[in-house]
Amino acid sequence: MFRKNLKYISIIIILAIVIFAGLHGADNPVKGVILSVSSPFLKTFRIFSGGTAGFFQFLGSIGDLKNDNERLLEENQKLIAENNRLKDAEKENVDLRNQLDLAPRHDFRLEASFVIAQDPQGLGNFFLIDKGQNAGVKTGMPAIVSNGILVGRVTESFPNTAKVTLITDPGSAVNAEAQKTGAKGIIEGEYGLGLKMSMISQADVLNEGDSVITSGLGGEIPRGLTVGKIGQVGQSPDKLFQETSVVPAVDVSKLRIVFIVKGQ
Amino acid sequence: MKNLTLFLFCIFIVFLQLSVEGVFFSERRIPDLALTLVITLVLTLGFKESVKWILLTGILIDAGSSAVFGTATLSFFLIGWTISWFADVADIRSRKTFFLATFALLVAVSEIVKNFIVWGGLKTNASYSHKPLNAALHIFSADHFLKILYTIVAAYILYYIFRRVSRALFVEPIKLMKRYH
Repeated sequence: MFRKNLKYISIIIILAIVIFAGLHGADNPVKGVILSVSSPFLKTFRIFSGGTAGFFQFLGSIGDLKNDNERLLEENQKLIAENNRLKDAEKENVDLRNQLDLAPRHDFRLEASFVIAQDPQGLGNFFLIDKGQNAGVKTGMPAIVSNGILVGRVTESFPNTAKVTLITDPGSAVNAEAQKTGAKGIIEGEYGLGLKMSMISQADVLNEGDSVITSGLGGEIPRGLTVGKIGQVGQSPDKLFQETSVVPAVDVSKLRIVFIVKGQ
Repeated sequence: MKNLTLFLFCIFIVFLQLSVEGVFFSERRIPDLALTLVITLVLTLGFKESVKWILLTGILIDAGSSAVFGTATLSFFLIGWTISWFADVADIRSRKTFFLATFALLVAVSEIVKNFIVWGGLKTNASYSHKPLNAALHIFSADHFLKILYTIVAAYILYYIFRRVSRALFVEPIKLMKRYH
């Protein structure tokens, strides 16, 4: 019996050694090689599936297109007016910054990348992108979507791929503040796809619906990236701080393209 | 030919799980195609024939997942071995209805066992590196129930596709070979 199963028991022992090595971080080169080889195929699969999903969504949404069109036309007119006002404000901002000798706020060096895979176990909150160390992507860099919305941070970098852990991950912590009142706190992920802002002083004011942005404290993530909007405000269990739920500004589970902020 | 086809089949299934399923399913409800592949291989080809493909599938899933490297492979291997032993003892393919029910039960139990092993690996890693555990395993949540349900449906589909394909690709050529030699 034992002799018959010796081969299988050996495999289990080898796998236990592999797991032990993985706990020490020795798995990184192996993962890097496998992901480098498979990254072009994963990208092709993802692009193809994205197209298929888009086609089905389009079929389902034909009925809503007319209403959407009318709403968008109206919204467009409002935006044109607002755009003109903002252009004036931007010009004024540039002049003032020049006078104060400040660097532009959103002059980021960005690396565009495709989302090529997501966590197959469904236990964590991360995705893989098709850019890695060869494109200058390093651990700790923030990932945003085009309009400056923070979605996560690079937590592992391989030669041609990188792992981006979402801000909704329970282990993620980002320094943030309420845009209008300046109330500072820490944004943490909650199980599922929610966000919580905690460690907010009792003296600070929190208004439901106000925007939450990154505060830039700690230096890794630049100031001014949008995180979401303040939801329900409450107290921490020990009543020492305020805390609030934060509604993410983007559905992080449906991302296709993200930008890695390589520097300012 | 048989080895190449199986190699491509395993890779195709893993890529589907890593890249495609996330577009159509919510993150915590993604059907575990790799696990259904393992169960299908063991019930169709036998454990001895499937070992290398189980290891390949596990390693690919480990590379693309948040789990500690090796835990998915170990869980697939243990599940495959247990199922092969169970299938031998209970002769689950003897009656169709019995098989359909047992197959669904096997998939459900295997999914729970696999999640426990993977989660155990993450928990060990968290305590080993003194970091907070970033993953939660909610056995009795709606997400987990739907994930198991989707996995069972996927397992039925994959099993019957694989049986048809394997009959055409592997069994018939062997029969022909025997007839002419």
